Amino acid sequence: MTNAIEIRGLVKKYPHFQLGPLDLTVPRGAIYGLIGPNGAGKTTTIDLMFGLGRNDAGHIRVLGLDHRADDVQLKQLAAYVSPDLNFQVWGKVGKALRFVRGFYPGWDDTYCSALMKAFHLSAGDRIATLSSGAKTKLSLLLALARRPEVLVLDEPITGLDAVSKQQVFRELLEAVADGERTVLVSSHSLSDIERFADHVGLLKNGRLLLEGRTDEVVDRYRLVEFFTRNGDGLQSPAPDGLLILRSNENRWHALLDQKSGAQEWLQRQGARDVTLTRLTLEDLFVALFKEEEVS
Amino acid sequence: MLDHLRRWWRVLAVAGVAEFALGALIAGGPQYTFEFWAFMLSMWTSATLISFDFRRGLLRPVAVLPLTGRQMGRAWWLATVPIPAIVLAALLFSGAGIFCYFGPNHPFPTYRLVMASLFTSVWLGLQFTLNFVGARGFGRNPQEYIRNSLLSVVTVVAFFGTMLLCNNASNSPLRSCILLGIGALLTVAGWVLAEQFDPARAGLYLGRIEPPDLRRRASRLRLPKPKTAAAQSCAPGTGGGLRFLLSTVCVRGFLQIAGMVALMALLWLWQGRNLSLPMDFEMLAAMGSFMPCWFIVFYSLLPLLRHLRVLRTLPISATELAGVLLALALLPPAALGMLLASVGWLFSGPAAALAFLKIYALALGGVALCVFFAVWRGAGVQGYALLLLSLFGFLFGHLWLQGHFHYSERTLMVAGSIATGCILLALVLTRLVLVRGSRVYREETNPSGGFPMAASQ
Repeated sequence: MTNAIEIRGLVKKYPHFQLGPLDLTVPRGAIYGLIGPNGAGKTTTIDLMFGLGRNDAGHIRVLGLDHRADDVQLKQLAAYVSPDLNFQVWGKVGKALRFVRGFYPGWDDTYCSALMKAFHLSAGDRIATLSSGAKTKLSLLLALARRPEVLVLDEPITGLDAVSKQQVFRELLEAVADGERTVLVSSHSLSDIERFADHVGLLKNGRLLLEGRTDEVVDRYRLVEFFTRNGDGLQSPAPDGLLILRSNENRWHALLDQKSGAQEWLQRQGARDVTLTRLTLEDLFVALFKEEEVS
Repeated sequence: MLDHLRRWWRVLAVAGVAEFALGALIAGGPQYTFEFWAFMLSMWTSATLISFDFRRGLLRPVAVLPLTGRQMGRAWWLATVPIPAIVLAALLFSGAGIFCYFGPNHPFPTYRLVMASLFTSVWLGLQFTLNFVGARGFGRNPQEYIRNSLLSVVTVVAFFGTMLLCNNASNSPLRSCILLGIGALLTVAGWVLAEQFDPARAGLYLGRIEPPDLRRRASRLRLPKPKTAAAQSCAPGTGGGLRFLLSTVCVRGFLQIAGMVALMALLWLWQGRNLSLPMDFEMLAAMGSFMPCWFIVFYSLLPLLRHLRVLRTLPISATELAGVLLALALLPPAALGMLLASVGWLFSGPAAALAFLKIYALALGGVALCVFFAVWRGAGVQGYALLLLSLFGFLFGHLWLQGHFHYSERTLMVAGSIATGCILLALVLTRLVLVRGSRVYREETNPSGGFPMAASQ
């Protein structure tokens, strides 16, 4: 089996929003970054994976297990981390640890102790008095110490300082170092996703806009600047693969998909002084999601 | 202040109509006791409504407005104590006046109306104090810590004590004096709390509880000790999982409600009631089951349900989770019912044991439905209304069964059948909501996950 997570035709309907139909593939051993604007459906997708709601169509398979038929086995192998997970009812860190470890035969006490030291948590700490960053670390600790095969993180670095962020990603890299474990991380921190995730998927309005290896996705697009003759616009509407971002008289800025053949189309249109600039994932994200605003 | 009244006008209007009807009931004759209903109506017009807002995160946006803490506290006090007290009193008198106008044979019950209005006023004050005492945090020094803890204990005892003692209290000068005296003191305490309100200290409602600093001043000069390796050691011990959850929550819940019933029985005896009389015994059994179930639902189950997201991501099936939630709510009252039945059998014979068993069986049915409603609707106003409806429904169901079956043994069978049906229904419905619902896992961010009396405390 080469894929850790396979989502096919997933649909979830709400009164004012519909997720999907969504197809998403997370290869085994990858760190997969799921990105998208607020309300794109990232958390809904993750929630459905863990049975926090029922999908209207489609299916999710995690390590070959169906998310509905094999939910208990799935949750044995996959861990979920989110700032929304609240462990406050257990009062102290030690009690939350004791509660959670009882569910996982593979719980690693040595690793748990090492993580507690690294995250500056102690068994006697009151959860209610922890900072939001420390609460996220606790959630991560509870997930990592069970040595899950698939780790799903929803906004795991919200509220973390720069050092803690690095620490979290270091632990994640270590977790997938053996090539067997998989991480699906949803985050708004695009620079971190670009640095640490080897695969990326872009969600928009409940649909997957792009998916692939991070370097390939970023490399595929360029910011293109070109000029037309004074007073002349483009002869025909821009084709797929060319997204006009802004224009000022005869100077144009656009997002170019290098695989689409739009560059040749530009030359046929008589575009002059065409310059291509490499984008970061964040630039690409902003360009893609500003589309509606421009149009 | 207007914002509060505007947002809650529907609830306030319903309570107003009910208060008007209560006025008519009081005028209907001296045989109708009004105190318990006046207490319940005061609850739905009091600062309890603000506590709902706080749990939905009201304090954070209000705290950044250009208002002093004192202004906020004063506005909330005015909106939930004197204004409702005046309006409710006016409605009460109007209801009675209209009843007497159309039924001239009924004398205007001035004394009872004045007593009802006074009780309502102090109960509104008591509930303000009850809800706002948590907004002071633990305290910044030992004196404040002791003072706040003492006030918390006094208000909680006064709240539950009032529920117990209020029935027909206007006919007993001693009980009236106690209720009005303590209520008046706590109303004043509430005003002081409102005057000293400081959003910065209301960490509970801002998502963080500041721990009490009980060290001596001198010790603050010393550098804090670094965390030792031993302190950071994981070693959470064995026996975790559901067994750990069930044992801790259920044992704590059982001890709390057992203490509550013991206190209730002592109060009952102090009032001079004879527990060997079936009627008194039935009454104690009814209150002794209703109050613990109320406590378990509101102070043990609801705080736990705020962590439903965590529980659902654990490797247990939805059926198992539904069963665990039901067990967490049902086991403590079930164990208490068995204990009370045994004690009743020893001291008063089988009739007493039967009285406890049948009322507890019915109450368990109500609690089971509460579990479903709490999972389905969450801790919002609708959820609370459904919970109260279930609990009161079963209390009145008990009274109805009593009236129709006249203490016969068939009551236990009927109560047992109803309870079994309700528990099974609640299991099926709770499982269904856990599997199908997505809203249940997306409850509004609740900053007061660690409510002062939550299971974790």
